[in-house]
Amino acid sequence: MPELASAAGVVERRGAPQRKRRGHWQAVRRRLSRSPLFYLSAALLVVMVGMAAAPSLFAMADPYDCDLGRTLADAGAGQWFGRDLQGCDVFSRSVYGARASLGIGIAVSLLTGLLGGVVGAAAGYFGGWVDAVLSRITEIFLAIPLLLGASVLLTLFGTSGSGTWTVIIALSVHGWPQVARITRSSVMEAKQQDYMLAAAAVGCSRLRALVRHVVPNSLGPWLVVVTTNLGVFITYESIISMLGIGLRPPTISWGQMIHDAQARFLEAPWPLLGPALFLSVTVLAFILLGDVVRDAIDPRIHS
Amino acid sequence: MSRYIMSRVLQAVLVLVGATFVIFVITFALPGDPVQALAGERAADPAFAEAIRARYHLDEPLLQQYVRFLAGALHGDLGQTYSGQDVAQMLGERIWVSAQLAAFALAFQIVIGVGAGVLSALRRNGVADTGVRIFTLAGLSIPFFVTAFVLQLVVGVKFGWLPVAGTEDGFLSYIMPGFVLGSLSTAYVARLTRGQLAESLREDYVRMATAKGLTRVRVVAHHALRNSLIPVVTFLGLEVGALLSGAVITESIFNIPGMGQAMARAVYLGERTTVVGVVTVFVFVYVVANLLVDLLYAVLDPRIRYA
Repeated sequence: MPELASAAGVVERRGAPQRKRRGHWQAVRRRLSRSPLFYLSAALLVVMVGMAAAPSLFAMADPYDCDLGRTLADAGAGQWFGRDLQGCDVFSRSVYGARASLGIGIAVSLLTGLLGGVVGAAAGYFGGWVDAVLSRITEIFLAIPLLLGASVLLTLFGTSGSGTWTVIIALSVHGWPQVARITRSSVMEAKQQDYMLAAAAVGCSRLRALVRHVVPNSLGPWLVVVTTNLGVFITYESIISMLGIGLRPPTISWGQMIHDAQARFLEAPWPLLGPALFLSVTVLAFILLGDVVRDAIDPRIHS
Repeated sequence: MSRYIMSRVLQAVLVLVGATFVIFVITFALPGDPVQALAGERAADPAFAEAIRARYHLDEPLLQQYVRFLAGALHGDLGQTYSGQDVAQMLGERIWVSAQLAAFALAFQIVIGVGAGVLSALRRNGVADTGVRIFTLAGLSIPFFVTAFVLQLVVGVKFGWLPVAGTEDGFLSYIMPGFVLGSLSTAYVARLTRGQLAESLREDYVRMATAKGLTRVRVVAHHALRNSLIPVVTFLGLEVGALLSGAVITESIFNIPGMGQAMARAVYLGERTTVVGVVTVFVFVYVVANLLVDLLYAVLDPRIRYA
């Protein structure tokens, strides 16, 4: 049936110009919505965020309702991970620990993303002496191992204010250089593209060129590193709390639970494995999310 | 080439001075009076306090103290702890312990990481690839201190294959902590190798090498892998910082008398000279490692020539 085929061809040809051209970010969103791993990590994160927001919905017992008579009790009905040395329900405490860990991870990622993003973008965009100064500062902070710098800062704050904000600040002060480096190189790449020449040719101001052209085009790597950092900083928080210089009671955090359970791990593994499981699953969810976001933004890896 | 090296060395010196200065300023602001801490419960005798302050130059302005520290460090003198121990000497004894641990960790990262990466890149989406991906994901998400506790329990206590902690058993006692410290980045190395090698295998020069009749092994090892390793080497250089950070925890968990343990103790006790000393050594190692990585580029990628 030749008529039918040609008719279909006409329809398609006619339809083509009407179809909206898909932008980069729309394509990214489409790739995201097609990835099963995206839904898996999103589902895990929804559960974790739900725990952080309303822990009492998930916990089976009050985490502060401890019974010394049942110290290190085995797992059983109503107490999936058993009880810790103080006789507190490990599962409930792990659920309540989500708030501190997630909160710190998100806050530090955003802060370091903002600071590193601004420093890196300024260095990459303005170049010259601005770049020289900012890059040297970035290198200096990059050379100080994050964990060492943060733990020195935390001792500096001492017991006086070792709360959530202290941990956030200590991690942020030493966590931004990596973001700055990545942002700088992606901004420099975007700056050299032809569209910048075109923008300058039509009389676009430098500031407008930065906001309208450079930022959207160099956002990809920044977004990837900030997403991946979520899991990294949650781990760092737990390490700091595990060393005993991070969050302190009555705040419940996974690292601190691991710190407390460490000494009795050989006789009672669950008080340590419980929070470790929550920690691992959360970090896994963020890593998967970071992967999926990277693949969606940079599809060359797929081909 | 020599001009490039000169500018890189100068840059490294700048980073070294800047980073030690940052740490110096931070530790200077540490709370608590070291003189009072020495005196214990009683109020310190003013004459004694003055003598101590003069001995440790605590009465000088911050900048002068820093310059004095730098001058000393150039001669290998990192000062004394408040209990009179020579910091450089103490760290000198510990640095070899840490170096051994780091060498084990690095070896695990390179052998397991690169090996797994190559394996999964060559058999993309096969059984080996899937297995490697699951293991790397697990390695990335399980915090390494948890790995340490579990290994201690299973391998150390239950089966008794390896010593649980300490360094009395020489070579054997470094295997478990080395693996734990290395596991921090092995997964990254594997992923990076896999991604880079998979990309290189599609390059024209690989097709060219295959076309001219080279064996598969030679194509992969000599042409594809060599070019894929550049980002891996960069990563390992940058990762030296994480390795040193990780040593603080690993050495604490496994009771290994290295620099990390000294650092953890010094931070806990507010022992400034030791903290500054350890960070100085760490930053030095980091800066030198990255300098070497930059120079290695030219060896790995013949297209890169430093004018």
